[in-house]
Amino acid sequence: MAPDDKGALFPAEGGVRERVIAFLQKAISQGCFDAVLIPARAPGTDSLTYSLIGAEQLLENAYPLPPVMPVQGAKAISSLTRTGKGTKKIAALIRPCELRATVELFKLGQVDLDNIWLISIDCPGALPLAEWAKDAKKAEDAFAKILKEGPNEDIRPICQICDKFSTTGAEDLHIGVPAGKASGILLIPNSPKGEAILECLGITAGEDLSGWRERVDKLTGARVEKKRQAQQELEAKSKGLDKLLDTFSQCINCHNCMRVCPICYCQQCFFDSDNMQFSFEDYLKRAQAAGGLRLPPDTLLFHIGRMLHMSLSCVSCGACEDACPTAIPVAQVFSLVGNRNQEAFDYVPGRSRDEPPPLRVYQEEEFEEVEQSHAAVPAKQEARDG
Amino acid sequence: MGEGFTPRIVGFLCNWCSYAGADLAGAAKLEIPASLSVIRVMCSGRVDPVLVATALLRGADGVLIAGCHPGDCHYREGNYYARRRFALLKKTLETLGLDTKRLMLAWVSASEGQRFGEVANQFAGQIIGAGIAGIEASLLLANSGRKVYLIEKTSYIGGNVIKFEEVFPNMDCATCMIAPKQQELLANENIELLTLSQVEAVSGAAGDFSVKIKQKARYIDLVNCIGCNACFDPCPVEVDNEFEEGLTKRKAVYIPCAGALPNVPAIDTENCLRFKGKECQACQEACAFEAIDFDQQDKELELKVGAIVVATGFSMFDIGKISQYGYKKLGGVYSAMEIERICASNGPTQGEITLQSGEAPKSVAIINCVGREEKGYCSAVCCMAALKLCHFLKNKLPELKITQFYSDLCIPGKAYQHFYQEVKDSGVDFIRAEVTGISESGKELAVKYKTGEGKENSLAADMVILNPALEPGAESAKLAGMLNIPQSREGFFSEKEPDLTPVATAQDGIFIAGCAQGPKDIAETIAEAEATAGRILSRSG
Amino acid sequence: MAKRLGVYVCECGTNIADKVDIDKVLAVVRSLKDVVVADRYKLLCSGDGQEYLKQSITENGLTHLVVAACSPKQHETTFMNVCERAGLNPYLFQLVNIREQCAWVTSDGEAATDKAIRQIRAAISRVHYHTALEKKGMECNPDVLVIGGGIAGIKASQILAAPDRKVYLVEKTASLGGKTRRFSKLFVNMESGPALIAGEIERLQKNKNIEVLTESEAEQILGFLGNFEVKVVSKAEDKEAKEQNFNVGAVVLATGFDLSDAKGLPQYGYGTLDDVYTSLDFEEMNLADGPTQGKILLKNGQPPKSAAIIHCVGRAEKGYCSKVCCLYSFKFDRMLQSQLAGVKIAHFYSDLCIPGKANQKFYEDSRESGVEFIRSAVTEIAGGDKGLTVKYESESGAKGDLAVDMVILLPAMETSGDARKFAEMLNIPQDDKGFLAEEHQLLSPVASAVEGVFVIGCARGPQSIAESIVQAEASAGKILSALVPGRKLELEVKTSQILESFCTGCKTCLEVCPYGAITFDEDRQISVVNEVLCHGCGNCAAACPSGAARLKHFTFPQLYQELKEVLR
Repeated sequence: MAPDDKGALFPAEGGVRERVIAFLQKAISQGCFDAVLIPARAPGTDSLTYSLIGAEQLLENAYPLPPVMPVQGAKAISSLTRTGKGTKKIAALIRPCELRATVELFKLGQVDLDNIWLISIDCPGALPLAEWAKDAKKAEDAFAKILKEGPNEDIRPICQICDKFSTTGAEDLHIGVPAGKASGILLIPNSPKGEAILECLGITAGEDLSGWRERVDKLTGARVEKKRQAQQELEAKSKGLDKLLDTFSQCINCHNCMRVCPICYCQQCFFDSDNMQFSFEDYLKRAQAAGGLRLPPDTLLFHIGRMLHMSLSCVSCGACEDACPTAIPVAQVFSLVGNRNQEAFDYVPGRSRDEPPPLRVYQEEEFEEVEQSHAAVPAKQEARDG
Repeated sequence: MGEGFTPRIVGFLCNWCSYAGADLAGAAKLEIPASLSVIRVMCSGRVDPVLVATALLRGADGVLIAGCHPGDCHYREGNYYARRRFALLKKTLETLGLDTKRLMLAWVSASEGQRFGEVANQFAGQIIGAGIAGIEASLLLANSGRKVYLIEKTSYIGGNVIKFEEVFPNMDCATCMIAPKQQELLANENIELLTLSQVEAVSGAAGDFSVKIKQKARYIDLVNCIGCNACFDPCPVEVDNEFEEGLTKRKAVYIPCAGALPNVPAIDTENCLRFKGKECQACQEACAFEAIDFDQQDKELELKVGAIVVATGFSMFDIGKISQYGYKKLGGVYSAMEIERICASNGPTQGEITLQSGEAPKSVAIINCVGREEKGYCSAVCCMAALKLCHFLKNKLPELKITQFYSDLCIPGKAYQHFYQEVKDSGVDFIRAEVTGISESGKELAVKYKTGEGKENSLAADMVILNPALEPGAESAKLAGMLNIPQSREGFFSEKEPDLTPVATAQDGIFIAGCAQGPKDIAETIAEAEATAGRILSRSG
Repeated sequence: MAKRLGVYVCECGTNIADKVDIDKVLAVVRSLKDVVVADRYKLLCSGDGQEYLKQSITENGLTHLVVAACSPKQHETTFMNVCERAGLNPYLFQLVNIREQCAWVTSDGEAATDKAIRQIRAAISRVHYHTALEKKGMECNPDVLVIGGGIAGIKASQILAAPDRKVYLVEKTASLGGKTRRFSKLFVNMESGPALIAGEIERLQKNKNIEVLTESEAEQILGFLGNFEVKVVSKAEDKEAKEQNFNVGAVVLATGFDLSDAKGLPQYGYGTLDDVYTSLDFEEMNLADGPTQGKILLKNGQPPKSAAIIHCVGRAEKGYCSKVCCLYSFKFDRMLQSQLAGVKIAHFYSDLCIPGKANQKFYEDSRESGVEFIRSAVTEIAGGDKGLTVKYESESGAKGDLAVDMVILLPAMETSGDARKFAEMLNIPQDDKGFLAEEHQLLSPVASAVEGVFVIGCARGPQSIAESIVQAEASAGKILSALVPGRKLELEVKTSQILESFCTGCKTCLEVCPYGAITFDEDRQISVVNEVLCHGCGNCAAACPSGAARLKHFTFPQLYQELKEVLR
């Protein structure tokens, strides 16, 4: 976050949603983009889905910052360009974790961002999906309170420890939500495409962002500490083979977590493929050797394998935990492993469109601590350090 | 896990380095835990973390992944990725609280049988636990469809290169680097390897040479012998091992070093009792394969060939000629080649750097340009070789103080200066001076030198390494006469037109490559070998 | 079709039989599914042993073979050949190492037997999953494209060209000969550069198998070893651009060198002071068709009475030694002395680089003729009304200066500007100094990381004419050995494949392939392995999360089968 970055104040009235919709309507009318990809609520229903909206008036149904995250925005965006990029300009209004996942998918060749403007927005968190399914009205009221007063204990556990709820730097435009009663939203461009939106709207980035910055930084600091504590507690509960098996003991192998995960982009998951289909004799032998065998087997292997495949790109969005029918804290475990692995590789998924995924590159000298090599640490290093 | 617990350990070994290293451990009859089962893959980069996780979850008590040393990967980069994937796996398991002591990533080269043994035993314990120019030219010619006769004086291939543990500037493991080429050579049907052979006479002209070869009998049947080395122990004769620069002994029936190819011994008739008229068949009795055949005879062969490539390599200047350096007189004074063997993991000390007292040296002086004045030319590779030794020694003994004495630093080309800078930055001292003498000074040695300004000084050191000039191979003069090609004033084979036809000689159809032509490094040697193939295969005028 | 496995355990004389209880092994093996015959034999690699195996394959109608014996590195090829002779696909075979990695390293016989059983079971399970693989050959084009018409390119062309192998020699400028053509003398024997080049050009013109394209540039080179598609554009002055398309099997880059810009080092006064020349300037001066008709003259038209030759100009900045400057500086001594009787010459240098059998004498001759050698660092060349002054500092710190009429700078050699263009076009890595990188610095000095593309001469690093010629011939050696007219290129059998239906086009495999053997098909949006370039390392298979990339003979199910057996 550069201290001298600038933003523009887009004047608009009402709650956060109203202000955002006003901005989008103006942008469409000015021709800044042709359509918007945004969560929308079908009138008179509890149906919340990502919708591609081209008509200005239909934007009234748009529901930015929905109380829950029904579909991970990155999945929605990538499905748009599945067969190639379009010629129309689309703006996608998404949460920061959805943005980061989109950037990862971009690097993994799963989405073409040429004609897509990525717009993220300060996120107060989301409620567990199950709550919306149980009682949408109650959930909506609870979330309205959050939108007005800020995040509280109602948001999902993964959101409570999220320290990346604001601008990442890889989006085209970020919407900063000013505190309390404000007369608009802050539009913060982070790329030439983002700047083009401001130009199109005829507004200049001359707003002082320091107040907003301060609030964001303060909450980020608090979250970092909360994450550290929460992860410590989680480790105590789940670390070690027995505790791990316990944590996943209720897993029914539905693989929902994998299906909703934006990073799991494989046509067919390795763990659903023929590679993981073993013979009758094989199962029988295993059952005989161990005394018994769960069927379908290899539950822990699926989870650990999925971690090995996607943890470096895990953005801690929590879609997996929302989708788990047996309430396993899968997002928290995966986020923990993801964070540790990312630290080891000095990689933050989604922070840059140019940073290569760590397993695609290497340095000639690195990770000396994991290899058994007969050369001692070269003397020259000591000479330089000492 | 109860009593009688036998751990199940899986090792994924890469075909080119670590699997060969494991085989070498076998040839050396080291003890490897029976609990280690091996799965061969082509490259450590093939091992995906899910496979390892599967192994662990299927009950493996330990999974070992072994590959070539970074920088030596047969497929260039596979092991770099393997290392990253391993780091990911390890970190994941660590975070989940699963036992990461069950995982090991080790680099084992093809010549590191001993090391494989150490790695395997350490890991299991953790759980409860034929030279290079000739070879290159032969391969290129054979692969194009030509029949090649490769005449080698000694009993093994690889020449001088296999004596080096690591080579400059990238510190590649020399034996790992050429092992695939050696194996390709031995397996190539178009190449007939004639070891223990020398040229006796040459007649004819390009396109139609007649070459008389005398092949000494090896007394071992190449087909029956499986390289088990059982014949060595019983042999009563012990002599200095020339390959090891006399630092260790060998028997009269011997292979020069572990890993030498072909892996078949020879009998040294000059020292074997039987060939000196005494009764002895100890080796034959020990052989279970009827591979020892005292009735073999030296052979005379006549080969008809279209072209001849001379790649007889180099030998070293006799340092003894400079008596003031105390070589072979003072303890602690070594030649560079002796030190190369001491550094080698398959050498007389398995790579441990020690003085005769058994202790590691604390200070070393390296004297360059030994014999330069006498020979009248710069040997091109010694400065780099000395830097390589510095790098290697510093890695083995980080506290070692090294001083290099030199006259002009010869580090030409894009890659070498950087290496020099690295070595300099690691704390090695460089003194431009003429070394006038080496003498004993208490328990240490005193190196007396004179700088350019004429100042005289002395430096104390535990160990002195003398870096001598390169000379042409011992039989060069005789061979030059037989082939009717002139030698330069320095004794190397002469090119036809020095600046313009470096590998051609005055005789059409006879080519020279490598150090036979003049002192040079491995890269230039290979280029010249390839150039001779180019000239031979070319059908231009 | 039902599988019929044959399993044979070699006694290897006593080497295996003494340690491993082979009968116990056979008892276990015979009980396994699909094993129709299992037996022991004294020495399977012997002539008799191989014949025995061959007959057994035929008599028992075996569909798969497992042999437990020594290391595959010893006899895998031997037994694969036996399979072929018996009409069994050699990839439906597995060799188990129960000697080097079992009998020889396990002192306890029981433990060795257990291990042997484990590894043999692993092989038997694995071989069930083997598929027959066929040797592949590819038609290749034996012609060659040589880029750069200097001495290296010329020599490469001559040695490669033949009636069944055409060579296209493409040169950017109007004349062949590169820098060599503008060296009036060549070290060590002082031959004439222009005469040498003139002779070579004559030979080239007579050679019907070489097509020389001057004032031409290769604009596009696509493809791989054996099959490159080349587009060359020729543009002579005042003429229309002409395009030519042709196919070749290999490409040789010989783009040469440039001197680094001495103007970037103002302390030497190049471009600001009169009579400070670079080595190339001095070479031009000595040519009969040069600016002074071959006479060594100062700007004022007078011959110099003294000259200073400054070595290592730009060496510290570039970080490498340019290898040939010391040698050609001695050549300059002779050129100066032969024209200007009594000329005083002083060299300012740090380390003399004169490797090789003949070069020290060349230096000694210079010194003995009265040339002065001052080991020092030159801090400045100063101008004045009395001429030039070389200011220098010796290693001990003592300062000095020398007045001279002429200064000749020896700047560092860089790879020519065109190298970058081809590096990008052909995906050849450049090192941090800008030179094109070889495949392996020691073992493969003229091949590049891209198969079929060779880099010779100063494009890959500063070197002499002799070395450039060696490399030209070396590239010919490699090309002539690999691309034989009429013979198909033998390709790696155990290559990788990417299953279209599984591939999502994430390009992870493409990024990690060490050989650039994977390309992206924009139409189908999937990655595709070029089996000509694939070396079978399996990196792509390990990197692909969905298992779309699979390495033949080392697939996940095959490795899993081994795994599951050794862990029982």
